[in-house]
Amino acid sequence: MIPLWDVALRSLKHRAARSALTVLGVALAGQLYITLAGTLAAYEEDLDRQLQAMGGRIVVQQPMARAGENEGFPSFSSSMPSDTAEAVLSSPGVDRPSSSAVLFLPLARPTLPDGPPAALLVGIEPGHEAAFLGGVTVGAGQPSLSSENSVILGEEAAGYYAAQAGSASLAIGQSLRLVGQEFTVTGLLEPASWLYDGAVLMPLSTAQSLFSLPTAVSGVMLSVDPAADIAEVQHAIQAQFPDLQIRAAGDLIEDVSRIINTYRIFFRGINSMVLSGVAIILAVVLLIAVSEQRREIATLRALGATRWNVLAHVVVQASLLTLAGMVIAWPIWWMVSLTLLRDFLVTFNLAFPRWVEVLALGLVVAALAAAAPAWRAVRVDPIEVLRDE
Amino acid sequence: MSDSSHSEGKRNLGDPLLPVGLGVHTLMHRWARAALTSLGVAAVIAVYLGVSGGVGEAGPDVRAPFEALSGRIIVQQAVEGYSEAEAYPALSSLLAESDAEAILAMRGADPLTSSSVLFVPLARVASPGEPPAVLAVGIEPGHEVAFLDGLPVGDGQAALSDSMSVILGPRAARYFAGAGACETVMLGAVIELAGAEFEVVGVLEPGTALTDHAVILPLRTAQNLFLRPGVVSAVILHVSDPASAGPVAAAIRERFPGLQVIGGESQGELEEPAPEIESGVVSFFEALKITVLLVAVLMISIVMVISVADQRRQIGILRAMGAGRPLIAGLVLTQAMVLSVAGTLLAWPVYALVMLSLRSVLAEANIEITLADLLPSWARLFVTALLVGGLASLWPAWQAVRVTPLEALRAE
Repeated sequence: MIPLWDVALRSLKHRAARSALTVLGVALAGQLYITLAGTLAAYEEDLDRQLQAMGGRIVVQQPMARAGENEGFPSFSSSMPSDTAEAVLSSPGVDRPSSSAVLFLPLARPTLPDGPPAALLVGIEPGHEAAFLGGVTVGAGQPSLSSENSVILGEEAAGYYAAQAGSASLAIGQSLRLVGQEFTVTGLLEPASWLYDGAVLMPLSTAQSLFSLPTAVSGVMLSVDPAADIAEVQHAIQAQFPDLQIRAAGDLIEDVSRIINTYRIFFRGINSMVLSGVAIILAVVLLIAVSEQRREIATLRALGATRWNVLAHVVVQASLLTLAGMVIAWPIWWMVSLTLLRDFLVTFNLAFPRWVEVLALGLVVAALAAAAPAWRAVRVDPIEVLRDE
Repeated sequence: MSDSSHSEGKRNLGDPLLPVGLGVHTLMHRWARAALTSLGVAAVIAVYLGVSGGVGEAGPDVRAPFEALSGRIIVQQAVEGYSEAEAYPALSSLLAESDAEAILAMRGADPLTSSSVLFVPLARVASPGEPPAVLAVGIEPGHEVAFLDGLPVGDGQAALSDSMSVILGPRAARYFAGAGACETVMLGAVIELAGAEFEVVGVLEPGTALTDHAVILPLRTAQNLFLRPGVVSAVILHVSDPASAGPVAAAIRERFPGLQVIGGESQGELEEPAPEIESGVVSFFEALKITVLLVAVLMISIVMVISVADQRRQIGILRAMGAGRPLIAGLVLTQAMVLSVAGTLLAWPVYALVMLSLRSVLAEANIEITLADLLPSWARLFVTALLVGGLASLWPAWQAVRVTPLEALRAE
C-alpha cells in the first residue's frame, strides 16, 4: 500500500520555503474570513437580541422623507405633537401602563455602520418604562424613574460615564451631568443589544425641557392589551392616523436587517474573492509541484500506484497546505484581535464557530485548487517519463 | 530565459535595462503561470479597492466638513462626555433661538454671512462618522452662505426664494430621485418632506460630505415641519475681520459657558473632531487593508520563490558571465513588479463590475455609487502595486543573489 500522507508530507517538506509561504497566505485569508464572518454574526446576534427585547410591541412614528422608506428604529427625524401621541395612546386595545410617548435624541454618532447611536437619550413617561425596556432587565437599582432627575443607564453608557467620573463603574445613587444638569443614577441595565447598551433613560418631561421641546415627542411605543388582537389594533390606529407610520417593532427590526444585507453581501463578497485568489495561487503551486514531481509520480505508478492514488497524492498535498493555514489562522486572528482590533465587535464566542467554518471551507478550496493539477498528475504516463530519463 | 538569456547575457551586463528585459522575457516564457498569478493577485487587489473605496474612507470624510468650516465659528449645545466625539453637526444640539440671536448680534460677527441653523436627520447614517445620508438644514433665507461658504450651485440658485423652496446637495438630489427614471432630481421638481411639498430651486456642486447630503430649507419652515419652534441646532458665525475670530470666540465662551464653541482658537483654525468614536471602525478597515495587501505580497512571493528555484542554472550562468548581485536582484524585482502591476490593472475592472452590479443592494443602505465614484487614485494605486511587488521580491531576491555559479553548475 502506498503511504500517501507520508509521500505528500515529504514533498511539501522538500519544498519547505514555498510550503511555508503558501501556508502563511492561506492563514491570512483564514484570519480575514474569521474577522468578517464574525462581524456579520455580531450584527445578526444583536438584531436577534433587539427583537427579543422589543417583540410584540407597536411603534408609531412620523413617516420618513422618501416615500415607502423605513429607517428602522428609532427614527430621529420623526416628531409629533404630544397631543397626537396622547390620542394614539388612548386608542382602544392599547395597554396603557406598558405604553408611552418617547423622545429619542442621539447623544453621540453611531460607532458602527448602520448601528444605533453610541449614546441615545430616551425620554419616557415615568411608570411606563416597560414600553421601551420590554424584556431588558436591570442589573442594579430599579427599572423605574423615581424622580424628574433620575436616569437609567445601559451598560455601555454606564461604562462611559463611569470613566468620565474616574471610577471603574457607576453605583446606584451616583450623580452625573448631562446638558448642564445633575442627574442621579437609579438603575443600571443588564447587557442587551447595542441600542439598549447605549441608552440613557430619563423622564419624558425632563428630556423635553432639557432640549427645549416642550410639546414634541419622537413617537409612541405601545403594547396591546392581552385580550386584543395586535393586527386589529394596528389597523384601527392606522385608520385613525393615516399620516403616521404604525408598524410592529419586529417589522422595523426586519427593515434594519434588510439594510444590513448590504454588509452581508459586501463581507461575503470579500471572503469569496480572497478565497478565490488563494485557490488560484494554490493551483499554481500545485501545478508546478506536479510538473516537478513527474518522475516521482511515474515511479509510484510503475510500483503499482493507481490513478486514484496519484489523484489522492495531489489532493492530500492541497489539503495539508490549506488545513495547516487555516489552523494557524486562529492564533493570527487572536493576535490581530488583541492588538489592532482590540476586540472590536468579534468576541471569542463569535469567532470560534467561524474558525470551524473556515476549516471546512479550506477543504473545499483545496479540492477546487487541486482539480487541474490532479488531472495533470493522473495523466502522467510512467513509460513515457521513464523513457525520457 | 533559457535560450535568449545567453544572447541577452551577451549584451553589456552594465546595461541598466537588462534586468527588466530578462525579467519580462522570463515571465513571457512562463506566461500561463504569470497569467494565473496576476489573476489571483487581481482578485485580492479588487478586495483592497473595495475596502479602501467603501467605508474605509470614513476617516477623511469625517474631517472634510471641518476643513470646509475654516474661517467660521460654530456654536452648539455641549452634551457632557459624548458631545465632543459627536463634533459637528451635533444632531442632539438644541439651543433657544433667543440665545442664538444674542450670539449673532455679538460684536465682530458679520450678520449677513452668519445664521442660526437647524439640523434634522432624514435618513440613516450610512457610514460611521459621516453625516446622515440625507440631512435637513434649516437656515435663515438670505444667509445661505453661512452654511455654503462659497460652494457654488451647479443648477439654479443659491438662495431660498420662498418658504417652500429647497436647495439640494448632489447626493440628496440622487436620493430623492429614488427609483425614478432620472438619476437625480431636476431643478423645479417637487419633493416631499415629512408630508409637505417643496420646490427644488437649486442643486449644489459636489462639496463636502455635509453639503453633498444636505436638504437646505428656510429655518422657520424647518422649525414648523419638525416641531422645533423656538429652537435651533447651532449658530454658524462669520467674523468681519479674520483677526478678530479669537476674541469673538472667547467672548461667546465667556457669555455662554454651557455652549460648545468650535473655531476661533487661532485665527480660524478649527479643532479636529475627536477621532476616538470611529477609531474602532477605522482600525477595523485598516486591518482589513493590511491583511489583504499581505495576502497579495505572499501570493507573488510564493510564485517568485518557485521561479528563482527554476532559474538557478540561468542565474549561475549570468553570475559566471560577470553579472553582479544588483542585476540578479533587479531581475527578480522586475518579475514581481510586473506581476503586481498586471494584477492591479486587472483588479479595477473586476472591482468596478462587482460594485456596479451591487448598485441596487447598496442603495438600500443609502450608499449611492456611480462609475466616477469608483475611479481610484491611479497614482496611489500604482505606488501600492509597486510596494506590493517590492515587498514580494525581497525573499526571492535574497535567495537569488545567494546562488553561486559553481553551485548552480555543479547541480547540473
